[in-house]
Amino acid sequence: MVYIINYFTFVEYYKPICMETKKLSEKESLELIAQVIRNSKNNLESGRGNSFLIWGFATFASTLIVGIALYLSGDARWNWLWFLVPAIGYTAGHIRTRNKNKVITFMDNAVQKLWLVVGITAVIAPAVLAFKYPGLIPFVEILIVSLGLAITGLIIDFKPGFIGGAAGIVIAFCTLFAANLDILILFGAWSISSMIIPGIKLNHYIKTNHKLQHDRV
Amino acid sequence: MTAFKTLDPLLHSELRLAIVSLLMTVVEADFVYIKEQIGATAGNLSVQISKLQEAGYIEMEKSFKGKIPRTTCRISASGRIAFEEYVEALKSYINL
Repeated sequence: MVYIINYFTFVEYYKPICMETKKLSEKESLELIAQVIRNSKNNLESGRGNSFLIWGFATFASTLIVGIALYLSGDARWNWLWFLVPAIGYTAGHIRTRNKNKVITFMDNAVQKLWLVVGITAVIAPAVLAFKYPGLIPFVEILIVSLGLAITGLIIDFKPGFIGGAAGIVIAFCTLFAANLDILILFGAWSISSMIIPGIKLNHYIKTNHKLQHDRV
Repeated sequence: MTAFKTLDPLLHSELRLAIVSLLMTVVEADFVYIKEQIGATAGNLSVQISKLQEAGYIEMEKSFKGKIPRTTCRISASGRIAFEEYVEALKSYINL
């Protein structure tokens, strides 16, 4: 199919000719198929990096709040505020996608299923660890989510996403050697390096890519 | 002498071919997205989608998002096969 797409050059956008259901010549049919597939492949959804940004800022804000609360009070119960991360992340994510025209690409499908597994594991793991190994929660949590980020980077073929995930895996191991408030600093660094920076870069990449597409047309 | 394969008449029209080609590249898409991508009028698109659905080439799901009705389309297994056969038939016509 890729061979067929590359075989033709196109001089016209297919939109104007699709208003009626007229019969096509064989060559026109192949051109139309190739053009639709090409446009669909180039249709990078703007603001796709916002998912990274939403979760990155949710993590960063929660880290700040928990850090300040722990520093001022020393009461470990403030750790319950970590649930702000999914609360902010899911709410903002839901609002962002609420009024969008829905299309699910094969890539979206793979990423959605990956995050379904990662999300469930990331909620269950700390709940189980809290009973016997609470000290391992930061390590496990950062490791699980970073693996998800790195795999997402590979699926969407976006290098900064993969590098951010890989950096997160390194940070996860660093938490094993850190204590108390140092772990919070690592959480903050993780949210910036693995989510916020890749999110900004992804949005910039899509914006640049769209501009190039328009320039070509 | 090369034997020409028969072109599926249902797919051998611009709008229906564009719809099926688009749905081949995604898991599912809603009506508004298809309309924007193809550039057809809502009425025309609706008629052609119904024809493809009657032929069993695409599957439709009607739902509501809040108070707004939403129609989601996805290509069926038989639609996928029909499209692949159509492309093979086209190739035989232009000696690819």
